[in-house]
Amino acid sequence: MENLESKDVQKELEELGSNLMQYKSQTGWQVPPVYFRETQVHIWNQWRQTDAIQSKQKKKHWSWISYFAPAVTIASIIGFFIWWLPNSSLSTDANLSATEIENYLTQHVDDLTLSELVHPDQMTDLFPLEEMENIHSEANEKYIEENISNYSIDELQQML
Amino acid sequence: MSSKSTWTDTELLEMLRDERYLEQGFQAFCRMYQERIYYQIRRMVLDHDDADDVYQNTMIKIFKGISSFEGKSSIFTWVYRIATNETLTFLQKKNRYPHQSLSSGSDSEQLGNPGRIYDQLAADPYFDGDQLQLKFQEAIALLPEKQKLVFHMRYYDELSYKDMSAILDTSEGALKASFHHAVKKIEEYLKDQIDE
Repeated sequence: MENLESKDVQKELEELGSNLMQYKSQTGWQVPPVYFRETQVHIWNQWRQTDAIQSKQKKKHWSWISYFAPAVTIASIIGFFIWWLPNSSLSTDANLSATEIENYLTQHVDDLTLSELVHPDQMTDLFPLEEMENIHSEANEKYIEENISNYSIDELQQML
Repeated sequence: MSSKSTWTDTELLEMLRDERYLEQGFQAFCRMYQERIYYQIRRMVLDHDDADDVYQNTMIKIFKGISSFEGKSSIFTWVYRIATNETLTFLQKKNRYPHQSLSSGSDSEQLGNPGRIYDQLAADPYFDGDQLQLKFQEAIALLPEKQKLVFHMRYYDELSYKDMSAILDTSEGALKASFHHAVKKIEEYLKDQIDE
């Protein structure tokens, strides 16, 4: 390949009418004795040295990552739970369907008070004021009748 | 692996990327390329000490980069490109920040001064050439940087225009024209010198 290219260069120079090819073999660049052998050793040592430093730095880099990675993982898990808990089924704001609410109320209706079952604003609509008063007075009279023996005469007179 | 004088690119790369054959690969690489790389640099920078600096930097860069060499070109083309870039960077720095010396004047002066180039080469203990050879080197040194590079690549390193084009990222036609201009300039310079 090189010989072919060398002939090409020679041919090209001849075509240009140049005689520069005659200077080529006489070029006298020299180097100190054993230069290439000595430099080869020097370059090898320098290369291996920089390679060793680079791989040390890489190891350092990776060891730093190996410490950092678990911390990041733990923080991510904690972060995920902080985000997830309010949205989970444990939350009081969980979305329930109307059927689920109705079933629950039917099963636990005895555990709930009137004010818990009815919204305060709707209370008067369901029970008009007069009826509310009647309910109260009837309940009071019944209560007094049942517990009349516990009251003194003065207390009964005050009630009347 | 047996010791032989020439290796294919694939074999060299395999050795240089395998810790077990690294030293063998390094030696094989040096046997194949070290002198070509050194003289490529030396012909551009002229002085041995400068060439030594650039050569060592180039070799370290090559070996540090060999693991990431993608093989899109031949190893030689890749190596040649690194050496060329290192040499040009060195010459640019040298021209920008020339060493001041009372005895020799500045290097930037030397680069454009034929007499000084001749004297520098004649005084160089590592340059052995007759008067005609000194004049020839002087003529090359006076060429513009790009033409000088093209001339060296074609004349001394005998690179094909295709390879030169890949290294210098210039069209083959432009490189051919550049080489022909360089040849004409050198011949004219030598003719003038001989006539004097």
